[in-house]
Amino acid sequence: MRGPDSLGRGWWRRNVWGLIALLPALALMLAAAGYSDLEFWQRGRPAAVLPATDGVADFAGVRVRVAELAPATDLKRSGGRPLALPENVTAWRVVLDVEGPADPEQVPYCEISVEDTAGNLYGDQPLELSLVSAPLGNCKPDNSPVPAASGRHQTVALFVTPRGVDIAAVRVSFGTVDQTRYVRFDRS
Amino acid sequence: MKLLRRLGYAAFVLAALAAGQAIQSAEPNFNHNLRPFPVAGEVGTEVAARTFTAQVQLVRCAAALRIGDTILDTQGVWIVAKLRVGARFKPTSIAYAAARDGAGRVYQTTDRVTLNLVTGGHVMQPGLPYEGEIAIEVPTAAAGSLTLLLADNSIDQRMDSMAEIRLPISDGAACSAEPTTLLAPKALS
Amino acid sequence: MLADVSVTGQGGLSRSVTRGLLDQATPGLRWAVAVVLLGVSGLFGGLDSVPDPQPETLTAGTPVYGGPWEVTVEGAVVQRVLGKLRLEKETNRWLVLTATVRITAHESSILPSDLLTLDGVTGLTSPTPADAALDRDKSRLRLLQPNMPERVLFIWEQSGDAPVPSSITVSVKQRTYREDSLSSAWYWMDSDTGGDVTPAGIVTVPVRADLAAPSASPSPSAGSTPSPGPRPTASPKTAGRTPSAGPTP
Repeated sequence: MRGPDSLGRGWWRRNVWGLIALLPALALMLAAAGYSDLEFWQRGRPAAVLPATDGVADFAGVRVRVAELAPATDLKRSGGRPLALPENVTAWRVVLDVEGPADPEQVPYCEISVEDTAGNLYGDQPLELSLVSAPLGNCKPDNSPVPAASGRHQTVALFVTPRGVDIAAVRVSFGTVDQTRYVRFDRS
Repeated sequence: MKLLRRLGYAAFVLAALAAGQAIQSAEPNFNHNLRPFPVAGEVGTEVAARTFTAQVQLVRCAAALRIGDTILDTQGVWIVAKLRVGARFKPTSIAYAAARDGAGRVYQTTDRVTLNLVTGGHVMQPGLPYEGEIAIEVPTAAAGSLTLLLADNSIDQRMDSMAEIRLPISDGAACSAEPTTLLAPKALS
Repeated sequence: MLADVSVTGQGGLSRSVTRGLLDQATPGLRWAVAVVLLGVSGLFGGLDSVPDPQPETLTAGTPVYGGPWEVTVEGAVVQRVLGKLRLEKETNRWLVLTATVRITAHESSILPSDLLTLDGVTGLTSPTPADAALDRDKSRLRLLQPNMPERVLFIWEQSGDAPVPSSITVSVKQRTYREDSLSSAWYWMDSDTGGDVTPAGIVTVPVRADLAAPSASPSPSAGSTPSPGPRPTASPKTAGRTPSAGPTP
């Protein structure tokens, strides 16, 4: 409708509230669009699963607990000679107790990493320890340092950090079972 | 009058189409939209990309590389850069290294020599940096306008940060005629 | 004025506009419109003559521009011995094509295995080369750097039962820089015409036969990729058959 209405109001006057309402509507639209992106991004980061109060996490069909998390000072090269690390490097050993299906094939592969107090992540089998002969820390019974018995075995992973860095948590993920979550053992 | 009005409508439609076309063609190429986020730096200073830090410590150029008993020649020149690189917050490797010349041509590190430091296999832990040398073959005329590019993804460097460090070589013709040797990666810890 | 236009449905506006325009146009005017449209399309290349799809046959030494590369085929030779390369069957022979390749794309590139296809020769064990090496040091070819022409040896294996060709025809693959319809990114890609792809150029080269008994001992090989530093830090990347110095065609 063109021209003034029966009350003599022009187009701008008739639509003034609608125009004002456009601004918050636009803001809401942008926020909603942004929120959905943010939420999608958040969902992309794996979520932490915490163990029960007894320290055991029941996840991916296995029961896992941290048996040891300590600096490793007794590392050996493949020949048996001790490995000397540079002054400012600390090696860490993580031992997990794993209880799972008796059939080794049914035990899922895991990947272990450690997180320091600043939130930095360190990976298993670092270059610095490439000379160390150690089985893969992948949760499989055939890599267990102790003989697997009735579905119970251990898995060992080695890490390096700069000296003075303290480990805050151990992360265990079972990528073949669940890529959206990982088990997080906070160091008490 | 009626014809005039209809022609007017047609003109509006054409103008809208033309405006759409103009916007479409004025928009930069899609590859440009997806380009890496550059993190620029100078030789001697540390550049912090998203997942790694990098510092070019020294740059030299030579007509040939000496690798053990082998001499690798080139029709251009070899650019050799000594790097100090480290992971920032998670295990990281540098998987892409190249030099870009003033004309926009991008020369990747050579694969005639194994360069572990920048080909993805050399995974570094946070706080434990490494140093080593890389070699890039470029035409002699391009040697004076090079920027070193480093990224952590070998296949696709788009939409992630890329370290860009200008290499201070002024003249490719002034490079050493003697073969130069490369320093292998070594831990700085 | 726009408020009077009733948009009745999909295409309603454009339909009423075109119908209105056509109603007004006398048959003569329609012809005029057609001629004008033809003229306009001519401005954008609609009336250009289309080149013959099959390129002419060139002689060795003529550069062929194929988009991201420029290939100059130089010569071909058949031989029994080629450095340390092992034939699948002892009675077979090598067919080595020498060509200078310049990367015209703006970044380092790995050549596709079907860059060159051969005609006029039978009994090849594979249509794509069994190997390719830099002539410079006989190391295995992988990356080529932009605007740094390199002479490359493309190596096929030919059955000993097939006749030795006196000349071969080499087709150089063509790529165009275009938008990928899936990702909208621009790449050097094969032509999107589908079906038969026109080569960038066809080159005929004579083949030299060098089939004397293997007397000369092979020259020293560049071997596996060297690695820098005092310690051998890495395992060689190019495990397996690495071409080594043989007689250059």
